[in-house]
This record gives sequence, structure tokens and C-alpha cells, in this order.
Amino acid sequence: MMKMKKISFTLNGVEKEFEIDPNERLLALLRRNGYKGTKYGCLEGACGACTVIMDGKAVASCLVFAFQAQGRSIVTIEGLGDGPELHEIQQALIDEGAVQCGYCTPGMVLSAKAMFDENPTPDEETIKVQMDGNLCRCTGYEKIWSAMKKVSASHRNGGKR
Amino acid sequence: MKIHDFVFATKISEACELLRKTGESAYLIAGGTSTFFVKSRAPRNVIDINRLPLKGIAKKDGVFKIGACTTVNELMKYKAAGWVLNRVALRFVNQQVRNISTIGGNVAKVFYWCDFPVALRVLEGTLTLTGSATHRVKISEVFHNITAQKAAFKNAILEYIEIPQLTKGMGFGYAKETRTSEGFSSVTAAAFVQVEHGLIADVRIALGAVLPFPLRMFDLEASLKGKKADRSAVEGMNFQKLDKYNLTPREGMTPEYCRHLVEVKIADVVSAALAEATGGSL
Amino acid sequence: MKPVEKMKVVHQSVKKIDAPALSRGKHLFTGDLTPPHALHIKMLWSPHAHARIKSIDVRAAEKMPGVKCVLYHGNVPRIIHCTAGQGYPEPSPYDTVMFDKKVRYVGDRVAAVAAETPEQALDALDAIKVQYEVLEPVFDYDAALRDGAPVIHDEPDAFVPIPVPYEPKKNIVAKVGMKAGDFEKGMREADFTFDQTFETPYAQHCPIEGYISWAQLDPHGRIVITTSTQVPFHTRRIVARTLDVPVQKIRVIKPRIGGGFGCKQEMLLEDVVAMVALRTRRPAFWALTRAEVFRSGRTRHPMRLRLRYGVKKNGDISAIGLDIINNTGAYGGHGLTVMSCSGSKVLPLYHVENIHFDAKSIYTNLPVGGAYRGFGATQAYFGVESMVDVMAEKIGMDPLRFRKRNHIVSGESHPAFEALGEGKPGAPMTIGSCSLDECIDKGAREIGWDRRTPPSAKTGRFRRGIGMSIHMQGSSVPEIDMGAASIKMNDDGSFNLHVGATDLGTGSDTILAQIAAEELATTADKFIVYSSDTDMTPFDKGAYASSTTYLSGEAVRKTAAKVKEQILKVGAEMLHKNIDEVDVDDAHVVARDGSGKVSYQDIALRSLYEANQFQIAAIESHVTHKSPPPFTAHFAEVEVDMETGKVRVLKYVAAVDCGTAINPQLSEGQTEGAVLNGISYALTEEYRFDESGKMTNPSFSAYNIFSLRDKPEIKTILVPSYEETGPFGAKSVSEISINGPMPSIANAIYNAAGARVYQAPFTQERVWRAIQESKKK
Repeated sequence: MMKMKKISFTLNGVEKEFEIDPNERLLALLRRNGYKGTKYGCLEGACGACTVIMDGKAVASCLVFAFQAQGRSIVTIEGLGDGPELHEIQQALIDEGAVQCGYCTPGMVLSAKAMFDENPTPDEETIKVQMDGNLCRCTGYEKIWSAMKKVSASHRNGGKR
Repeated sequence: MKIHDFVFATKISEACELLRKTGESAYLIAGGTSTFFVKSRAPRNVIDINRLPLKGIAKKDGVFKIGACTTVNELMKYKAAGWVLNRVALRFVNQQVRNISTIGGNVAKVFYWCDFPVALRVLEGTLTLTGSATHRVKISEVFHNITAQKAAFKNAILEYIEIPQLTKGMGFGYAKETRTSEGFSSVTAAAFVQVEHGLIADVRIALGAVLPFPLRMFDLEASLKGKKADRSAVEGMNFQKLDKYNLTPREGMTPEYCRHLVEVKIADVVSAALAEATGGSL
Repeated sequence: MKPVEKMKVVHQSVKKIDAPALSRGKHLFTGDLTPPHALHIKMLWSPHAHARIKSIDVRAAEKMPGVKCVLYHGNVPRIIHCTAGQGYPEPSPYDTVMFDKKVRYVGDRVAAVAAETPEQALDALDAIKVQYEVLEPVFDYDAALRDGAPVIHDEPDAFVPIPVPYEPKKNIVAKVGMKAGDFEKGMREADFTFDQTFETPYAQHCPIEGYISWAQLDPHGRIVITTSTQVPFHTRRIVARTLDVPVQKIRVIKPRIGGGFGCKQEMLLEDVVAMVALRTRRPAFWALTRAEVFRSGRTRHPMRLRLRYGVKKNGDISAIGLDIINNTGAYGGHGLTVMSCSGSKVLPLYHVENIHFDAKSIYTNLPVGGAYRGFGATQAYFGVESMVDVMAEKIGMDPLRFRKRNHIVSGESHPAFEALGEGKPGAPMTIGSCSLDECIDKGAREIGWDRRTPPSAKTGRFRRGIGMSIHMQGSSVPEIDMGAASIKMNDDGSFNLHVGATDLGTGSDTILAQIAAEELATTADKFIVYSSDTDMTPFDKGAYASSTTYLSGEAVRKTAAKVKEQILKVGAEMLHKNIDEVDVDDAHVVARDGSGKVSYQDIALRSLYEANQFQIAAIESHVTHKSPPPFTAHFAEVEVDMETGKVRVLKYVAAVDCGTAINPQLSEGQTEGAVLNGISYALTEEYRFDESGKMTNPSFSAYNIFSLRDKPEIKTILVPSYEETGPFGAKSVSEISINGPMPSIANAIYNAAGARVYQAPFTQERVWRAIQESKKK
């Protein structure tokens, strides 16, 4: 059977302790603990459905072992809140019609959040490079692309879209 | 890969000690993405070296000293005159992977070597390895056959990588041919040139992905040295020198096309390096 | 007919109703809903392309820690069925059993293990001892059809449930064909004739959520299957047959789906999860890994297409001959219908009197073909639209003008509509709406067609070119498929809309609410939409054949119209008017003379609580009599590296006539998704196999689908028309646009490089070889 070990990390701003199997990935740990907005896509770091933010960086949680999260700060899609207001990135994706099946969306939102947190006004080339780890098969990315450009533009205009 | 247990190393000496003590089942992890390529399900004992002070890039006396645990994304974003590894980083898998993969892991673990090792060969990078003692080796001493590669990283921890800062008259070219931005490489080529008085004073060319190791193309280099640093040098390259290599076609290519693509990509990276070195375009 | 301008909810980009919850990562998908104590299933897949299982010993595996159930051919019923999710009886052979003694491709089922953890299940797979008698495999068209070829389906119980040709002893799955006029005569009368072969590869849908299902028994012992499917009702029927349990004992629930594109028009996992749940009385969960999705999931059929054409100098096409060999892989589901669509959705596009169409589907020991967006038309359009450019060049006509001169228009018919159905004759049809000319004009303007120069005018290493193609598809399978909906009114004037129609991420729940809202003169947000639960919603054939908007949408409109009658009746009572003196407007019943109005809420309260009480509710069904084609004109601008053959798409334009776009934003989204999928299908996607028949690139990174970084600019232009037979003038939009990229890009490559590619994908090597070939000429 599994040899469980304890680790702790900050999850969505709250310090938490978890029992982990040394062999399990962060994706499995999160989903096992109810953070199911982190989706299972390819288990090879190619699709980004399982993206979480670790210490400010978008990472594929299927490539990160759970133990590697020890002492880190992890943000999942649940960390963006559940109030009446959506996060501006979520809202932009919805407004542009960029949510089709929605399976890639939480990962897409988190990649974008990491990008905008670091640089509120990324240019087109930056968006293309930094969003290259989130595959979407429904939209052809055109509407995701315009949502990202709109968020960037709104930051440039002081929050107005 | 199957992990039996893990331990966080806090000091380099401690990591070395753990590595020695753990023996065959030891597996060093920095970013950890190389584990994706480990197909065996034999249990491994992981030594996590990602918390060691091996991060970041420092520039001193014309040399960039890169901590082995520096992520590819940090290499991509780093800005300094004469810094070229950002171009290699830009073509590395995808953002989520660039954020965790480290240059050390890419050099030490990820077969087949089609990213940083290729560039490091032409930049004449050195690796500083610590095992029972600390020593610095040229990357060319590591990447010429499997025994040397394995031996270099056995019971040793890669601390940092050093590469020279490029200065006026120097140029670097890099190409990684893939079907899509995050696709696997079919050919990776890199070139470094130094131009003095309009002539090619020094040139280094390396090829990866189609070879078991990123190899320097010494014959090709020799044929370019002393030539005028313009298009004619590239056009005059004698690719018969490639005949002795047993190229491995990838991504469904035929041997014939693979060879052709290698030639085009080598010419491309040499052209790019020359253009940069001469401050113009060829 | 209600003019589009007067519509208030339809033709509006209403925000997708499930988007907020999806963007928050709520527990909406199959894998999010799995009970924590579910057993995990892992499958032992065949390592051989063609073999008999001489012996299999599962005893050691059964005793492994955590193992609760092992299934293999020795302990499950042998019930022949078809996994394709189609109407009943299926126009596909019954050639599959849950577990067989024979394996027919690398990735075929051998045995399943259910254990407490996935690792335990994997360990147990290693303990299963199988001895194979390896048989000669069949990997290509010619090998399958030659005399004395190994017979892939030699089992005696395989049969096809409808009267169509099925010759498994010859590895022939199905044949379809048609003739019109006199093909030979048409070829003789031509000024120029052409005979060219094209090939398309195996390709995969790549939904980001792969195949995933789980099942558990409810307290009454019924099997409840929660599954990522496009066809919940067909799945219920097929699982019932396969397990030999009554349909009544099974409930299939489709939650949100993480993409399908056709691959989930199949009963692929559900029989096993149901069987394990039945055997163990435990919830049982099974998700394929990405490699398993590639190797054992469904694919786009590879085809070899021979195209013969006769053309006259004036631009008349005097003859077309289309011969197809379609590889269905190891099992034959969709084998007939895909080819039929290669004819019926393609041949009618151009005026040609003399037609020869002959297609056969064959078995091979390779992965299994299935439904995939475009469904046979996509492959055929590569050949047809490439040849249109070839012909136009030969007679010295602008290929755009050649197309405009020859394409079908409103009021015309075509013999293929009647000749080619789904295992029976199709439905004769006259084209209603068609704004293809306008699509061509608008698309040409957007791409800058008038700056297009011939290949001979280009120089340098990187050369640019522009290419185009036009297409049609269908909307639903006429006279065969049915969709139904029910609506009931609630206290506050909101409604429950229950549909069997299956939203697989397209937004059909949203557009169906829009259609209901338009008919009921209220807003889309007044509808609580619940879809695709076989216990709770009316029947629907499911999400395929570009049906949901046109067919299920009309079912919803009819249902809403019935509910409206009831609302009008109650409203009239309340206003003391006759029913013909009132109307609906803005969620009220209003007196036409302006004397009063009463809100839906008050109407609901009265009907539920106050007087003449009854539940305002209705259920309606719809079957279509035609399959009106949407039309598109696509344009691609590419850059070709003459040295390496590498092709980059710079800009792509899709001008689309989908009738009324119920939700323009979602219609654009369907178009852009199909286009980008089509672009990577044309350029980078393909299955590669080793000599054993095993796919060697089963991962996203190795199979090469596009990311945002790879995408060119895609411009969608919706060109309205009004289809009288569709809900508020709508036709389909989801499939058609995948037909365009392959021929448009091939034509653009030719325009750039003067080299024509006949085999897809257009890898840099293939393009480079075509360039070398063209230099010889």
C-alpha cells in the first residue's frame, strides 16, 4: 500500500497540511481533496488543463509531484473565489465567447492570471508565448486570443474595457 | 516513474552525501519534468535539489554563471547584452513546462538532447559538477558518447553552467524544427561565429535531435574558417562532410529528407550567426 | 416567416448559460462527479494487430491486492453488437463483442481489471497470462482487398442488421455508389480529362477530456451510467443489448462534456463500467489515458480517393468520377455512412450531369474509424476542391469564377440527395436557402483575392500564395433521426426546458433556450435547461450529423409553440378576451387592443394555484424531411519555405451561410474551432505506425495539434440566409468548416510554390518533394 507522508503548503492563501503518497502528482492530490477545477487532460504536461499557479508561475500540476509543493504557494481555480463577481479574466473569456466545452477554461484562466499578475499589459507576442501551454480543441483560440488582448487593453486604459 | 520516497536536500554537501548513500535507486529532481521520460516503474528514491541555492543568472567578467536549478522561463526572460539562451528557451516545450524545467535537468537528464546542450556546445559552455570534489568540465567532454554523459552525472550534482557573454563581432544562430510550437524536435542546430576584419575568425556548429548526442561539426567548421563573412561562405559549405554521421530521422521523415533538412538548418543558423556578427542581414 | 431583424432573442449573442460555472471549474464533468470509493478499471490491450487468444489465465490477477473483478471473454456474455451510436437498426455491421477470443488491432480489448486503486489494477494487468496465436495482419487498402487476404472478421456471428452489402470474408464492410447520366460519355465529351488519386491520414478528435465513464447501481439495482457521450440514448440501447439487460434497468446521464467532435458518438467504455458495477455492486470508474485515447479511441477514417473529371473549355464540368476506398480499421461502425456522406455532401455542390460514384469501406488491423466532424465529406473535399483548381488552371479560368459558374444554387436539386442515404435511399431535396455566392464574394474581399498572382510570378525562398475552396454539408439525417423536448412552466414565469439533445460543449443548451425564448416571447435566462438524461428528458438521437440546431431546435420551437397556446388561453381568460384577441410579448399576454396585459408569473400562479388549474407544459418531437446544406467559402493565405517545404498559414477566412445564426458568437466559435482543427489536420496531424501496426505518436506533443501560438489569424464572416424549414431560419454550422482547410491550403501551396500535394498532411517533407517534382516539369 501507499506510504503516506505529510506535507504542507499554502493553498489559495490558506496554509494546509496533506497526507500524500510520495508517488502522486499534485493534480491527483488536489482532485482527491476536492479541488476538481484542476482538470485531468494528458498527464504529460502538454495540454494545460491541469494548470495551477505555483509561487506565481503557471505550472502543469500533472508534471509536479505532490511533494514538490511542500512550502510553496499554490493557487487553483477555486482560489479565484465564488462570489457574484467573476474574475476579470473569466468575465472576458465569457464575454468574448471563448468558453465552449469549458474543460480547458480553468487552466486557461490560471495561465492568463499568472501572465497578467506579472505583467498587466502583455503585448501580442507575450500572450502567444505565455499561453502556448493551454490546448483548446473547441474554439480555434480566436476568441481566447481576443479576450486576452481585451484584458491587456483594459489594463492599459486603467481598467476600462 | 515510480517514487518510493523523497527527501529535500538543504545543502549541496548534504545532497552529495544522500546521492552517495542512496545508491542505484537515487534520482535527483530539480523541476522534475524529466521523470516523464523515465519509463521504468522500478521505485526510486528522490533527492529534491530544487531548494539548493542553485538558482539565478549572474554576469561577471564576460561570463554568465547560471545556477543549475534556474528555470527555462527565467532564462527566457533574462535580459543582458550578449545573452542568447533566451532564444533557446523561447522554443522550449510550453509555458507550464518552461516554468518548472531547469537548465540543469535539461542538460543532465532529458534524452534526446535537442535544446540547451546543442546551444551550449557551440557556446563552449562549462559545467561545474560536485561529487566527491568539485570540478569544472567542458560540455564537449560530456556530450560525445553515452558513457561520458552517464559518467559525468553519476554521483555528481550539477551546480552551475557557465557561458561566455557574446561581444561585438560575435553571432549566434539557433533553430529547432518542430511541427507545432510544443512539438518534438526533428532537427536542432546551433552556430556561433566570430568575425574579425570581415573574415570568419572562429565558427562552431552543433547538431542535435538527429544524433545520439549534440555533436560539433568540426569538418564543416574547418571549411568555413577564414572565409569571407557573407553569403558566399554559407553557399560554399561542403555538406559531404555530413556523410560520416548516421542521422536518425524523426517525426516520420525519410533519411533523405532528414539529411536535406539538416543541411538547410545548418546553413540557416550559420547565416543567422553571421548576420548577427556582422550587424547586417545576409 | 419571422424576419431576423424582428427577433429579440434569436440571432443574439446570448452568453453561454453554463459558461460562468465552467470558468470557475465547478464539478460539472464526468470525472468530477465520481464517488470517492469507486473501483478503478484498467484494460489489458492487445499488443498484436491480429491474433487469436490461445489461452488466458486471470487467476493470479484475481488474487492480487485490491482486485475486485476481472473481465475477459471467458466470463462475459458473447453478444454481438455495434458500438457506433446511430439510429436503430444501425446501418453498420454488428461485429463487436465485449471481449473476444480474437484481437484485431494493437489496442483492442483483451481483459479488464477493476481494483481499489489504479496502481493495483495496473499491477494486476501484469499478472494476466495470455498466449496469442499471431495471425498475418492487414495494414493497407490493397492488402485487405487482395484474393486470399487474411479475414479479419471470420467470426460466424457478425452480421449487418439492415439489407445492405456486407462481405466480411473479403474484408468489405460496406459499399455505396450511384450513377447519373453517362459518366463515360461525359468523359468523352470533355476537352480535358483528369485522373488523380488523393490520400488522407488517420486523425484523432483530441477532445481535451478523453473518454471517461463511471457506473453505479441505484438503491433499486438499476444501473446508472454517468458518461462523456454524444449519444446517451443510443448508449443506453447498446449497453442494454451488450449486457443483456432491459433498457428499463439502465439510466444514462451526460453531464458537461469536455469536447467530442464525433469521437463520443460511440459506446466505448460504458459496457465495461456497467458490467463491473453489476458484478461488484460497487461504483466503477474508467478513464482512458491520452495514449489509450489515441490507440483505442475512434479516429477519422483514412481514405484513398480517385477522382476523374472531364471539363470543357467553357468551364462546364462534363463528368465526375469519385472512387473511394475507406479504411474503417478493425471494426466497421460508421463505415457505410461516412462514405455515403463523402458522396451526398460533396457531389451535389457542382453542376455535373454525368456522375460515377463508387465507394467501399474495408477492414484492416489498424485503429477503428468513427464519426468525426465533417464525416467523410472532409476527406472527399480535399480531392474535389483540389481538382477544381486543377481544372480551372487547365482551361485558364480564375478558380473563383470557375466555382461561381458551376456551384448549386437555390431551387436546384441533385440526384445524390435521393440516391445516398444511410443504408437506404436518402431524401430528395431541393435547395432552399443558399448564399454561397455572397460567401465567395465577401471571403474574396477579406483575403484580398484580387492581389493573387500566379506561381510563376513568385521568387525567393519564402513564397506566399492564396487558395480557396467551397463546401456544403447537411443539417440532420432526414426521415431517420428524431429529437424531442419538453417544457413546463414554473410559478415565477420561468420554465424547465428538458431536451434529449446533447450539448457537448457547442452551446446547444443555450441556443435551444434562445429558440424557446423567442417562440415564447421571453428571455433565454428564464429557462432552466436540463439535457441528456435518459430518465429525465425526452428522447433525442444525440449530437451528430449537424442536427442539434436544425432538428432538436425545431422540436424545441414546436414545444414552445404548444406551451404558448396554453399560456395564451390562460392569459385570455384572465383578460376576459378570446384567444384570438391576445398575443404574447415581453413575458406577458397582452390584449391586442391594448386594453390590458398579464404577466407570465401571474399566469403561472393562476394555472398552478388559483383557477382551472393545470400544469402548463408540453412535449413535442421532430423529424426532418430534408437536410438543408449550410454553405461556406474558405480562403487561406500561406507562406511556403521553398528550401524545407514548411508551410505556415498566415491568414484564414471562412465565410459561412448557416441560415439564421441563432447565436452569432457561438456560430463563429464553431467555425473557428472547425477551421483550426482542419488546419492542423491539413498540416501536422497524422497517425504514424510501426511495423507491428502500433501507433507510435500517441501524445499531444507527438501528434501535433495547434496551440494559440501556432494559430493564424482566423476571420469568420457570417453570411445570412433564411432556411424556411429550420427554426427561425437556421441551418447547421458545426461540421462544415472542417472541410475547408485541407483543400484551401493545398490550393494556396500550389499558388505559392507551383507544387501540388496529393497526400495529407502536408508535412514539410511532402511539400518539399512536391516542389522537387514540380521543378522537373
